[in-house]
Amino acid sequence: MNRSLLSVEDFSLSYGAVPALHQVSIRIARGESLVIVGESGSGKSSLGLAVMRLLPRTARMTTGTIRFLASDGTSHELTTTDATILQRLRGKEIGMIFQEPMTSLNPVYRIGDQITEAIRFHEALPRTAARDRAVALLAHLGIAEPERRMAAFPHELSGGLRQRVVIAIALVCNPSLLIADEPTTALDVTVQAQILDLLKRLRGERGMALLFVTHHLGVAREIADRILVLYAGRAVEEGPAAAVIAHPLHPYTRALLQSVPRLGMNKDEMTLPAIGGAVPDPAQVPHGCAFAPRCPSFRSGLCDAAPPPVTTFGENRSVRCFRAAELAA
Amino acid sequence: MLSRRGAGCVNMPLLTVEDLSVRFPARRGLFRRPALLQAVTNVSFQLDPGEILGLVGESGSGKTTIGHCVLGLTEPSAGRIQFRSQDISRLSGTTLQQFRRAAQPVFQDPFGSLDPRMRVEEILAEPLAIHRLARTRAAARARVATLMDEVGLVSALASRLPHQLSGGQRQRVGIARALACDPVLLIADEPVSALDVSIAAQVTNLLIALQRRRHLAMILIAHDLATVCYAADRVMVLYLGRIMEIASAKEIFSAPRHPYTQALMAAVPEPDTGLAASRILLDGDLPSPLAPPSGCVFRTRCRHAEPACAETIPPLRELSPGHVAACLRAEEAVVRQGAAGRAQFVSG
Repeated sequence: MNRSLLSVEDFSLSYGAVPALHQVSIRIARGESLVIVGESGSGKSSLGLAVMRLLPRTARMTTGTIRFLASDGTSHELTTTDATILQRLRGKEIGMIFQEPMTSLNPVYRIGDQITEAIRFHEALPRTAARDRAVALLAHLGIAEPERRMAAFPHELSGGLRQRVVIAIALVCNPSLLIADEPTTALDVTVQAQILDLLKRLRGERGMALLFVTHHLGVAREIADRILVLYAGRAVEEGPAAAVIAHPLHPYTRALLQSVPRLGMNKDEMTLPAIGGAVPDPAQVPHGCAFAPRCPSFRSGLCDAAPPPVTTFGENRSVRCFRAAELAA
Repeated sequence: MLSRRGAGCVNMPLLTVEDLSVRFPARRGLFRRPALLQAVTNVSFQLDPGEILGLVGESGSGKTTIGHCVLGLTEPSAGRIQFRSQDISRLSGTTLQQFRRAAQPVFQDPFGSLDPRMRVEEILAEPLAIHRLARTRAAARARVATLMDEVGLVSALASRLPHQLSGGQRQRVGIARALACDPVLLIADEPVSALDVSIAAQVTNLLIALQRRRHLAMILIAHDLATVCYAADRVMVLYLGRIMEIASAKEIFSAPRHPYTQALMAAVPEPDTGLAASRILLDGDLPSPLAPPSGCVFRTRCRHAEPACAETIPPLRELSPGHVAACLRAEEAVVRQGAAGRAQFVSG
């Protein structure tokens, strides 16, 4: 019996005729943080949206299941469950934060109303009690003068404050799972560091699980227990964050890590090893391994013949590459 | 002092910016008096031919405004910008057109900066026509082919429209267009931040290759510190429109002397380590540029601030050859030690 908080099995998705995700499986235990790393077109955002069932109408699920374990012990299949049950779970047991805090807040409502709305929707709490809880949460999230901020409109706040408000809305009902889609990408580095710190602290305090989507390997390393790397809609590698970063098994993960400049690197001393080519058009993903045309370890007749199977290493690492065992040695 | 050249060098700087200030009128409410937004304050620097100067700082630090001023797109409220010893605000007619040819922009979003109805070859031929750089059609076509080859675009893409290109290819078209009239200075504002991780490295390498091959000078504006420190020769750190520190790309990382530079470096999450263990978290947000703090503008968020910092605007002082910082306490041990944080952490 699988008691993961969230388990996505064999999930495939297309937009019209264009495939976006191909047989992706993820599992998140209670309190665990999984970071999905990928470039544009990898399907990383679609995965988060699919869990919330917020995909656009053109999206079609072709295979797989998404199961979520609610706090009362009941298990729900999120792709098919009744809309009323889904409404009870969304915002209550599963919270979500998006990349751009300005567009996820309603510009004509005060901050306070937007936070208490979630409480009053999910819990039969009097207005004043809901308000008190919202003020306490804003203070806890490091917002100075929370009483005064409650009356502010989104445009009166800085980007960092707005993102804290979005986090407050997502957390106000104590969800057991928080989905965050590039929540720091639109922020300055110093504010990003504050928000990452805040999310880590909140996870520790509340035992909340995290499904975090990012293209930034440094952010992933900072926030992840485990990392899943997506390429062209396929899971290519998964494992504990430190191990994946220190010893990547898939040639794509390895190349991606090498192509990111680190502080202290200088052009006079080295040339950045860039990955050649570009991410494949989702409608024309190569038949064999999707990364084959760009792969430095490509072997003709093997990598372009069929999709590579999953190879596991130890208990908690897996990689989708024909040559993984050979390259790991 | 603000240039990397040695004292005995007689070469002219390509670009000299002196006491540049830019103020924008900002209306606060319908009936209130208009306020002045101080976007850039007393910025001075020099750029040598063939040198890449990186501009870093948070949003609102004035880095884009400085780039616009150098291109002549924004008029300074005070100060002078000299290009090859000529004040660019006094240029007109032929000399203005010569300057426009010599200093070219590269934009962040290659999609927004390419005409969606023009084919790649037309986009690249347009500057040749404007500046009359190709006598015949055949010459223009040959020049377009050379440009595409130089930025790594295969000739088959010449007849494509921008939407038929990938993000990386579009940015290469943007760079090729900037190169069309053989500039000596590129102003690249966030040239790789809209690109995928695996493509950003390709374009960064291309810009460096062009600098070396063509002896191009560049002002590289980016929020990604690691990319700037990698690609630039010198780095200028800005905060609320003022220069906090200028040093060589290596020194700004290994020995940052301004507390703001130190905080900025510590806030970068690195793949190998995550955030620095010895990080300095900056509290709060940028103060409003409509009412910047007195004295040192960074003092409201600085962990080393003392009463004197509220009274005096710290001048830029040379701490070692080519390394300047605007901090009253830059020499003090407590501030100098902050420099060691990230660098030691990474090497140790």
